[in-house]
Amino acid sequence: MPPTQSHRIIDIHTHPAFFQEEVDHADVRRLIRYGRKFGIERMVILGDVLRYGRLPSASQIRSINDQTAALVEAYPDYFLGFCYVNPKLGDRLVRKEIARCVRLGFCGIKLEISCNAADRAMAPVMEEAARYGLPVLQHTADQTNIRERAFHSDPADTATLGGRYPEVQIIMAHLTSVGLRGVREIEEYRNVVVDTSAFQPVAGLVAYAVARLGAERVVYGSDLVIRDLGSSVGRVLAADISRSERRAVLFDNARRILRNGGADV
Amino acid sequence: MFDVNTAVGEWPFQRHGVNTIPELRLRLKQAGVSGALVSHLGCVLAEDPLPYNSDLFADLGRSRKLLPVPVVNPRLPGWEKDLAGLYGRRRRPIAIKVLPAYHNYTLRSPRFNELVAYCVAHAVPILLQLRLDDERTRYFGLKVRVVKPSHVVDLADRWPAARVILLNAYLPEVREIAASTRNTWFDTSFAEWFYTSRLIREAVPPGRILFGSHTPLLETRAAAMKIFDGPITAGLAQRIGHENATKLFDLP
Repeated sequence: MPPTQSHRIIDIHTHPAFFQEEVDHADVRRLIRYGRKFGIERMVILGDVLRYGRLPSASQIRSINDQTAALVEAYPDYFLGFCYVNPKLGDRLVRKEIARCVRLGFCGIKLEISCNAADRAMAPVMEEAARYGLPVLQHTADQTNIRERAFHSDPADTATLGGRYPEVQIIMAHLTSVGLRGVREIEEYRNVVVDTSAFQPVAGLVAYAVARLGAERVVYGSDLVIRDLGSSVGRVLAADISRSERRAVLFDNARRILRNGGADV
Repeated sequence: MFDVNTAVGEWPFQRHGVNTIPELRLRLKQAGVSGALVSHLGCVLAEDPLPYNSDLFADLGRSRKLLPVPVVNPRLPGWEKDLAGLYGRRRRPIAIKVLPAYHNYTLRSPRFNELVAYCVAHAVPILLQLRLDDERTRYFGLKVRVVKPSHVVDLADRWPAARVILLNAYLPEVREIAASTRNTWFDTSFAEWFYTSRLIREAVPPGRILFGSHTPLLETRAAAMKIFDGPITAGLAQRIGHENATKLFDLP
């Protein structure tokens, strides 16, 4: 096996704080050391998005984003921040929070399960994303068995979002939870990429995504702390793809997306 | 590294590329796995696993590294005769794999308990496969019964001499079962959270953790990295990697 450290990696999908109002900085430093051991040079913090449930209030959203900002400020060479928003809070509050996050230096927007990606409430989020040039990372999971589509996005919904806003870079989260159909749902939407995070390292899935979408549309992510880094990095290292494709998935694509969002990466 | 959870053969819901023994051998070797317990995936959905068990035993021949494990469906009368056909009258199976969720019986069913009695009498460890995939992404037409942790605890209580190895248990299930039993072992394939190896060690005594990759349905290398590239001592890595399996299965 080639040493993991020989790969440069950016992790575009992490939650270093998970149901934690206060983070222990000794734990964070340990996490960074662990990440570096796997070759992970930078991590994108998406926020402690489920701490207050599915529909956080405006103040709860600010609290989550403030925590992200504090971590980015404490470890600026390692962490980058995405702005978590609840589109159901309405036009004014959504635009206000995104503007505040931009001032804080965030370089993307994170959406969880407050509303379905095809919901019209997404309009202000996507308009602000286009205005600031920010990528939008949308949590997505196949809803065939989960059956929460009223608020939980199926890959078809994230594809719909991509079709409505072709000028916005969208990252559909969770390759394993969207599966083969998820890859096909976004295939015709060139502004939508998929991240490799979450669930088990299902054999063949990364290679399938690369074959269908092209390596430039598959981005490494772990979903840390919900998943382990060995499992997350290992599924890309094990994939039957070329060396240059692997480099694109692990590093180049995220760097391109984050730079387009204004990050110094 | 010795892997207690591998299989070979086609699985209708996933093209995994390990349909033959040479393909399995290569997949394991690429991840640094030198030996494994192997079953045939064809046994899972077939009513009678015998033809697939027979193919597996024929394909593996006298392999000393890849060891065949027969799947038994205890609802089918005559399974003991089938085992004798695979092993002969004098040799005992290295282990028996059961899939109650896929073969439609409970852990309290009389026929399953006859199988447990056989395993206890012949000192055969039981590989109890809880699932093969994540319920959230399972093919919509495949309805599979859930094996509850409380039922596993009950089984272990009723059969204190049985050695039950749980395959594909999630970390909360590992915690629940390990806390209430002494005669259970756990493979590492589905248990996961940040710092997995540390969390499993906190949940399970070190002698009862076994490396399992769930090859070919999961990526072997990812399964290995999750445990052995994590925060783990060299001693624990050795125990999980091969020592526990060597002792439990009486490996050469």
